[in-house]
Amino acid sequence: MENSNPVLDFVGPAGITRHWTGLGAGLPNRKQEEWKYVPVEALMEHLYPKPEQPLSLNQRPCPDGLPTEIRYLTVSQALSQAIPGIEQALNAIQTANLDGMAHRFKQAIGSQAMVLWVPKAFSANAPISLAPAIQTNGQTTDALLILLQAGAEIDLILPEEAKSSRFSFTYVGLEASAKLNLHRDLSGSDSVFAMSHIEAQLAESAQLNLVQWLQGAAAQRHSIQVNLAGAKSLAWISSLQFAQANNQVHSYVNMVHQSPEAESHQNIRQLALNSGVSSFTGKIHVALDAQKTQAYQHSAAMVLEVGGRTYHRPVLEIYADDVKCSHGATTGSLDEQALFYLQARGISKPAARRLLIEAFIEECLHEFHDSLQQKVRTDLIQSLP
Amino acid sequence: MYMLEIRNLHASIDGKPILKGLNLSVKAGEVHAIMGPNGSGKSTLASIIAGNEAYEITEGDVLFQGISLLDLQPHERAAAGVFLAFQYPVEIPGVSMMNFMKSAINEIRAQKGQEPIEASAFLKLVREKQALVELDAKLANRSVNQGFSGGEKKRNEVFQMAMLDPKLAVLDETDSGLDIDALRIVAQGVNALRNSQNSFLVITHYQRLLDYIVPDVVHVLANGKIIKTGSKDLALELEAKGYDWILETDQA
Ligand SMILES: Nc1ncnc2c1ncn2[C@@H]1O[C@H](COP(=O)(O)OP(=O)(O)OP(=O)(O)O)[C@@H](O)[C@H]1O
Ligand SMILES: [Mg+2]
Repeated sequence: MENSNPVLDFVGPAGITRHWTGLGAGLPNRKQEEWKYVPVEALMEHLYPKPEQPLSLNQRPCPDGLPTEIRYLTVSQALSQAIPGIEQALNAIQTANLDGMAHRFKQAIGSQAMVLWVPKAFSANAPISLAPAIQTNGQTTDALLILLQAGAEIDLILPEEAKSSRFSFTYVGLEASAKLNLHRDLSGSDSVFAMSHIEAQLAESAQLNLVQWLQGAAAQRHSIQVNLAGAKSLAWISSLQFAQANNQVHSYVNMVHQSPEAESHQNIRQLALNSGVSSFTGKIHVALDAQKTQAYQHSAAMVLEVGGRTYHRPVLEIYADDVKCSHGATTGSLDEQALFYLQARGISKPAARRLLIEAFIEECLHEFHDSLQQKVRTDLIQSLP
Repeated sequence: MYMLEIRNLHASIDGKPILKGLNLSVKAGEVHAIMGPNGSGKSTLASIIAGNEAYEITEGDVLFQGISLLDLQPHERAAAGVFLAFQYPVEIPGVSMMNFMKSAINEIRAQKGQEPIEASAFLKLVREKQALVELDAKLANRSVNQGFSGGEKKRNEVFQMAMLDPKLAVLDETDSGLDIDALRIVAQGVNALRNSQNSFLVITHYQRLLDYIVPDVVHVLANGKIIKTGSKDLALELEAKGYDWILETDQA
């Protein structure tokens, strides 16, 4: 019997079959080079059919102690109160080329999605943590619009519910010089399916620093599209991915440089244990007039046990001529000589492995908020063989 | 009881025999030098004492204070008091020198059922031992051996030895790559640590080091065996005559 929530039909036997078909086909995504001329939409429709009934969303509860200047309300409320920026955000979502799964949110967003709105020049002095959406049928489906007015600055932590399958859509709208640090904990227990899409729009000199920790889950697929629409905007994406036995952990980034002098960094670290699979597909698109772009991508993977697999798929599409772009990918295993060196100094093999693994992820991990860093270290230490 | 007693040691790597019946006994308080041609198995011996699993022991035993080292993991050997100064210290990007040294000391203390070292005591120890080998304090802020010059790496090995204060230290060509001053400083460091309770096995190609660290016994290792043992004068003789004359006598 298939699940009644149409958007979550990747859960349940039929949905799982469809999902694996999708994975087997290389996770089609229009933004990927190899799928450029394939009618991916049709394929995705087949994998993830359009809902017949409107999608119903779960909501993240309002966090305690939210500064009074920050508003947390539904899209309908935001519309009726004419919150600045809401119209543009909804427009951007409706016109965005969202891929197979994310496009289903278009219908539902108009009313039930939640909006986190930060006024002009407001700067929160403590990080805001938005608890996971409340689940129904052991699943959560949520949509969140994060709107920062000009010059606003916040740190936002999005922990996820580890025990349920989830599907989420996040829109990030950053006005001029706004600055968002977004920390996502996407760890999940082994039976979970998790998919998400982030669509981010950056105005002039806006800054997005997005870090994510992907661990566990039967399958996770997270896509991020960043539109560097304003000149001198800046985006940093750090993704730390850990595939244990039977986990499928996949992330996609599409970094679109639309304006001059913007800068982007994609910094990925992948770890795979026996029969775990992790992949990263990262695209850098530089439009014709996005001169003086700086775009960098670095993905490094470490296979910790025989049978683990990791993939990097860099895609560069560059139309401007005065740009600095680079990408690099490395895959390796733990350095046996370094392990022996550490052991010879009294450090046990498991502790030596831990030191080397922490060193490997450090460059990515130090971008994470302290509380999340602590959690990542604990999660990792508990899961290492 | 010997500090180190090696009995008829046979070892191979990837099925290729390297050590072929090596015997060696070192008492507490002694310094033994091992010399020998390139590829004769000196580093192999050092690695086996420290517990490198890449080598297969096909025969014989290695006893440390009467107990077999072969049953112990490398970290257990370190906790028991065995130290190897590597011929080629390994660069470990991302692991800071200080984090590494602190982990090493605390893991050894934990194995002995002791509490972790206090931060202030640790720093004091670091400063004291840095001074002993005149190691640039700035290196402590870097990743383990990363970007260290050849000489700095060797000095860093002796610094680590001083930090861990082992009972048996094996120095594998710690003198190679050192300039004259560094050689003297490193040797002074070793001499400062020498006492009646510990022993050193000094692997070197040059008699010069042995002017500074005066050995009680000099051995020649060739073809996987100790083929000659003598006093420190043997080193002088080797320097003057090379190895051929002993190799010939050995075969005779
Ligand atoms: N990992 C390995 N794989 C294959 N052969 C090895 C390996 N390690 C050592 N050997 C071989 O074992 C022999 C002894 O090497 P070892 O490093 O012990 O020599 P050594 O006496 O330390 O030489 P040197 O004076 O040049 O440092 C050499 O022939 C070497 O090629
Ligand atoms: Mg050697």
